[in-house]
Amino acid sequence: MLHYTFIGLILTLVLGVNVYAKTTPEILKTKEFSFGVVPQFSATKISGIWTPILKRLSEKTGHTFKLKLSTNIPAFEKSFTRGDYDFAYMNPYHAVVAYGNNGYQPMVRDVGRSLYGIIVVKKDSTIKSVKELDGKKVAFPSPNALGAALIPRSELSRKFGIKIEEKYVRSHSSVYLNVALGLTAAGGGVQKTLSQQPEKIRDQLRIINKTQEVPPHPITAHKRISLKIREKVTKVLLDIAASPEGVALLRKVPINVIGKSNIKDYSMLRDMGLAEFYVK
Amino acid sequence: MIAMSLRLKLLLPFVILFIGLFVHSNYVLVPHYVEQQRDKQIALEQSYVELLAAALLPDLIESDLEDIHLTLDAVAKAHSHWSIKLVNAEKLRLYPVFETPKQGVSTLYSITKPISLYDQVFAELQLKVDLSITAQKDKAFINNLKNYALGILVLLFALVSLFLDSLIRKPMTRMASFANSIAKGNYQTPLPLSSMDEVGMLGSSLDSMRQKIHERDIAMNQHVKVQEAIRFVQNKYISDQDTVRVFIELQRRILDLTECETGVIVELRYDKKQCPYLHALTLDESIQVYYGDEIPLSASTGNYELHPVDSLFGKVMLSGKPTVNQGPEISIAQLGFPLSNEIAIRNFMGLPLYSGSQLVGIQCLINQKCDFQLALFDDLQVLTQTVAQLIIAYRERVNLADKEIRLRQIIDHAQEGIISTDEAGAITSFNAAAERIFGYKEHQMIGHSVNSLVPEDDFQQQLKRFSHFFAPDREVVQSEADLEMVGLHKNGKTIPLEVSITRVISEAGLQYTGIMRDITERKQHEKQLSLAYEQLQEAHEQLEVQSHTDALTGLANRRFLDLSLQAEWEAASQHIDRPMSIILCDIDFFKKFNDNYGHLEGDECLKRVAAELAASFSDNDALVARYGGEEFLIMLPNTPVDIAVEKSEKMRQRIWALNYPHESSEIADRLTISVGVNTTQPSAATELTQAIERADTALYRAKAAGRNQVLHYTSDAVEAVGA
Repeated sequence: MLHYTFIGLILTLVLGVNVYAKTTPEILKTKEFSFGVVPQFSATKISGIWTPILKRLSEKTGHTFKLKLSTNIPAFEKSFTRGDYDFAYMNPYHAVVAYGNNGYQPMVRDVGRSLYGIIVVKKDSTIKSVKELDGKKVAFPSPNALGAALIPRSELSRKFGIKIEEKYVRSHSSVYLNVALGLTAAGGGVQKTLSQQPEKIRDQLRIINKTQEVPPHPITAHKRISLKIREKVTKVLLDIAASPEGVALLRKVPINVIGKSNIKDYSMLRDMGLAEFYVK
Repeated sequence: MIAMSLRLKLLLPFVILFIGLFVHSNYVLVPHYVEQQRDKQIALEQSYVELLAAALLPDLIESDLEDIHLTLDAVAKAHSHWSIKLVNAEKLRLYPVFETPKQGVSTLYSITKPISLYDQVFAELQLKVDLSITAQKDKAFINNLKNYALGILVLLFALVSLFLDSLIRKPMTRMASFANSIAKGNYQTPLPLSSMDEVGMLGSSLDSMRQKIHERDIAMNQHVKVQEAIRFVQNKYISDQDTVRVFIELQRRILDLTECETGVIVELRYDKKQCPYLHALTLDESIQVYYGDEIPLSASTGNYELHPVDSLFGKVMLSGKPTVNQGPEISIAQLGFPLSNEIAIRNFMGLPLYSGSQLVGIQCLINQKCDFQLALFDDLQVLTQTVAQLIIAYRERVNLADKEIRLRQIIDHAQEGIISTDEAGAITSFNAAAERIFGYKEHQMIGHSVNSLVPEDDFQQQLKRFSHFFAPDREVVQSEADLEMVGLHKNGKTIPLEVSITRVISEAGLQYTGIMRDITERKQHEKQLSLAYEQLQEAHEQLEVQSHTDALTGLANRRFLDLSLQAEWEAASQHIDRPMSIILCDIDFFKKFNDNYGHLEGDECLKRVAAELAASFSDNDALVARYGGEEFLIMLPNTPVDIAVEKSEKMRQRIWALNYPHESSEIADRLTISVGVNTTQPSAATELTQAIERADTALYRAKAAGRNQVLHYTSDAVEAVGA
């Protein structure tokens, strides 16, 4: 039953698009695109970051970009799996999955840095190497958090061959708190969130391992978006960085240095076999 | 009670109340409140903890430590006095990251709250609450409140005390100073305030007290003035001779006392015809004022006025009662006394002046201002009596002066010299006749001794004659009449004087007054007379030589007596126990008898006495003889003294029994004799002349002792036999 409804919806969308395309030339006509953003932050924060960017995008392209918010990551994942978003900002793992599912193409990404996970222990802990974590309790924000959980878990299992007791504590800060309080032997996080912790927490922690680096989050476009528009959008996004205000806008995303990207950038993620560790 | 000012006393209850409240609030109310607040807070904190536990439960279920931390951080930030600790079921600390025990805080209150769901304990919230912070807040709050309340209270007390101060203390202080001023004698200023409360009543009673004292003071003052006036009168009476001035001054004082403008003191006098009139004592102008319809013929001076009887003065004079007339206007005619017309008379008061029960004058008071009260009469009674007494005193003084003048005139014009001395003999008065007798002037003699008027060699002898006279026991002593003395004239000649001396003891002291007559002429006359008499006597004696009896009396004569005495004396000398008594007797005041009745009567008298003497001694041995003049000697041979005295006394009594009239006798209405008795045992050692002399001495003493008595001689004194 649900399946039919779903098909109906698709059909309606396709038909609608067709009707629209028939009546006006694609380039000339004002189109409305949906823009999804991974709910890493609160909806308010996300809206604050992205609304000015999308506004510029709309002004420069002549098309309308509408921000689509998701309540949580699983909802986001479902949305892009269905291909709800015309454009989307998503994490590298999602980019790999979305590419496979709906042919979401990465357009631009932060080329100024890379994403990697870290394993932290309490500063005064006796644990010196990852291997010693075998059998120990390790905290993670959530199972699918790419840098903080997915990549480390994958590496702990594959690379170090140890088995740990995972504890998911919803946020990066919780991870660090758990470690700092000694509730877990170690925790998974990323450099950025660690550096965002209060100093007294940071001081309590020691990084014992860095995972493999991956490119950070790309802005992707659904494969149904025409190349022309894709290129136009890419150009506009790249142009934003030309002005200092634009740089500031992007830095909040966070994108320090915007640059072109494609799916090849994320091929190593496919090789990691993260799907095995991905919790649906 | 400790000496405290009234202000302090009024404040004291408030201060005590304040201290009580302060102590009570500090040690009871505030701690109690803090305690209560603490309990309240604990309850509140506990409910907070419950809430917090409930809030933390979802995050605990989801293990969202960040959220928990965020929550608890926020909570901890909001509750600075909280020390939150969260431990999980394994007692591992979930919060905070670092345990930092609060230092120096002792009043930590622990609350432990397990966080569980369906018996599954997720964690335990351990809360330590620092109650001191809120407690301090509460304490500060309640302390502020307390201080504020106490401040208001202080303000209120200050207000109340200000109120008490101005409404009670100040009036009281004013009253106290008022009373103090009364105590210091200021009764003049009245108390200005008058409120209707108790203080005001106290004030008004104080004021009425002041008035009473003031009135009494005035009365006292009046009394003093009255006393002063009386003293003035006494002083002036002695020192001042000008009576008008004394009365004017006295009147001035009376007017001052009675606050009258004018007045007059008049004396009630009687003229020669005993017609009463008034004589003003306080007016320089002397006028006699009569009352009635007719012009009295007795008004001798010609300076008099007539006034109707029913005039005010007339009424007082006739009724002798105080009279008041309140005007409003009184004419001189109505007044009945010629006072100055310039004075308008509104109120009149006439006070009768009494000395004892005798009306002696009128004190008239005239006042323009206020009415007279009859009570004034009683108030002034002391003074009016004094005025009356003064009038009487002056009247008597005038009389006395008159008498003195008359006496003086008598003394000055007397034929006899009159000299007065004081006790020491200093001359105090020396009259014109004395000036003539002695040749001295009065002013030369006043103060000098009377001795200078007596020849020096005679003085002691003469004094002896007066010796009995100076006995200090009798007030008045008159010497026997006509003592003959010798005076010394200024030119050195002696003057025979007949003197009588009077001694008077008065308040001024002892005074002797001598009245003397120059008897030079008489002496010369007497001398001639005695010469003639001697010649006659010689002739007579020749006759008598042959005779043994006295021609006049028929008694033994002197010659026979002498022979008989001699013979008897010699005979008695032969015996040891044959005493001879000699009686000498003398008729008292015989010279005066002669002067009074004449010599013929005197001779008759001698005869009668002689007969009676002879009859008294009828026995054989006694010899009654005429010794000379009015003297008789009776010789009683072989008679002891007691018998001699007894017989003498009988003799004296017989003479008394004769009842022979003698008007000029100073001691009786009849003839009397004085008798001297001497009894001696004649011997070789004794002499007849001495025996006779002794009898004479006894006689002399009997005379000196008052005459009409018998005395017998004793060696140093004369023993009285009877009177």
